[in-house]
Amino acid sequence: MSDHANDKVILLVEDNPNDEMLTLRALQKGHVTNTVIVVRDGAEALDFLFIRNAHAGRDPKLTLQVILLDLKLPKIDGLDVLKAIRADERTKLLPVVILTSSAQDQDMVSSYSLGANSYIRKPVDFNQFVEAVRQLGLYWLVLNQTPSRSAG
Amino acid sequence: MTDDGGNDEARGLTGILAQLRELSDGDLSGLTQALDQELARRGTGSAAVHANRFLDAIIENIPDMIFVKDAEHLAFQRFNRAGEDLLGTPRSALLGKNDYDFFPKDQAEFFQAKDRNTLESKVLLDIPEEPIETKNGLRWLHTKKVPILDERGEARYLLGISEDITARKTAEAALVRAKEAAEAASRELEAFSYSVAHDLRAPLRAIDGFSQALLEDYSGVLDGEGREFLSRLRLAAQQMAQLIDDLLNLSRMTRSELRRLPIDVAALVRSSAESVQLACPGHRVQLVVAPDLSVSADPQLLRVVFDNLLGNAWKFTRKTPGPRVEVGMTSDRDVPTLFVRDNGAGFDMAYVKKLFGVFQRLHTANEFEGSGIGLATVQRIVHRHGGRIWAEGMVGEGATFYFTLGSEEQST
Repeated sequence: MSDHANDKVILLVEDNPNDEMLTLRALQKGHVTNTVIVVRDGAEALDFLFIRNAHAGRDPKLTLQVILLDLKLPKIDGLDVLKAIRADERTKLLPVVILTSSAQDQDMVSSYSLGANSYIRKPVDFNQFVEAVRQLGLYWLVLNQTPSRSAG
Repeated sequence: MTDDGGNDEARGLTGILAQLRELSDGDLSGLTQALDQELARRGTGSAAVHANRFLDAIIENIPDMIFVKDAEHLAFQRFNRAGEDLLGTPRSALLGKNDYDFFPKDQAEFFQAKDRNTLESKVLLDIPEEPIETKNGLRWLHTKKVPILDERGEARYLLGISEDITARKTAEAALVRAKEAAEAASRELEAFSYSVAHDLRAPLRAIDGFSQALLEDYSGVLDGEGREFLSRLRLAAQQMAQLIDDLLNLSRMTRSELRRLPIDVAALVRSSAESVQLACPGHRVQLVVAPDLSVSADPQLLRVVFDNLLGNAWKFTRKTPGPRVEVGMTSDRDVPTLFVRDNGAGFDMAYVKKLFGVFQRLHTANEFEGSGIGLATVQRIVHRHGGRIWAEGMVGEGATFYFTLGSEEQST
């Protein structure tokens, strides 16, 4: 992730290393070639987004295209991360896709209520996961249009 | 007091007063005599005495504590047996005394404040719950305090009627505790289910995903048997994921709130059949639904019932030529009964009892796949509606599932 100033970067918020590897593999299998930055808990996600603490030195011109957000995360959980994203002028228009194990109605309702753009349950079948990620990449990275000033 | 006893009393007293006026010069012997006579007359079976005994008998046998206090000193004037039993104190120890002689100061103050309040307002006071310290321990009373007025409208006595509601209070408290415990257990189960849903699936994804990665990236160094093993690993991981989902679903069916609405069953069945058909491409089934079927049930839960029953019907007719599924309404002992009938693999009635148990299966995974949770889920939903479910079948001849949906009062 050396030169991604003009790249459409994906931020993956995922604490499980297996899921991280599988998600990266699924993105690659789905021909999503964008740079993926991985953060491993909710607090780190917010640090990255708001350019502070450990991420105070990151390139501020970097353009995020979509955030893939797990719900169950250490320190600050996914819903609270989502709340913080929507509450801040710098990030409130960023597309956020919930990528989670949970198929609980309550999680879906909370996610959409808090302004999630999409909700995907990670399938156990890896081929289905690849297909889901491929469609996700196609939609959010190719088809979807966002205002140019929206990214953090 | 407008009965004969009251009139007698008034006449007698009028006579005594007349004598008082006559004898006001100092000779009191006549007055004493008249009083003696009057007392004697009252003591030998006058109507007043009869009325008094009659009232005594009633008061004595009322199962609630009855007490009468005079308005001035709030001292006990009358007391009944239920009151003696309740307080553990004989009336001989109570009569003529007041609350301060028996109860802790704050309780006596509370009782007397209510007494005064009743006597001043001159209207009945209802105290739904009051604690009282007795020789038998703390009791809870539902007390009514009634002012008894004289002919001038002045409050002369206070009548108290107290029902011992300690047993009810204890039962209510036990119920509240049980409800809280059940809610805590339910919250714990909720958290547990959530954890199961999230945390058990993650390792399964890893097993499936990395098996697939091996198949894709290392197929060259694996022989046919090695690839077969990896395929089996993947299948097992996926089956376990399905099992987890089904179990969570079963648990959700038990906990979600039941809301009854009128339902167009035919429309629900067609919609359910569409999704079942989507999951079984290539297996065309003739579906016959009776028109104008309407029931009162929870729409989401009834949908789950049909998803499972139709899913089974589709599954077990897969090897049947001319597969046909029928949904209709019949009557079982005058109770409207829905049924789902298929002409599929059927089952042996000898095992009918195992049909609705969790994880119970009548077919091997090779014959027909399944987790053994579907019919347990259906049964739970039917029971929550207060209904019953049963099945009839014959090997090779198909199966029919019958169920009723109870009524509003039978729902849980």
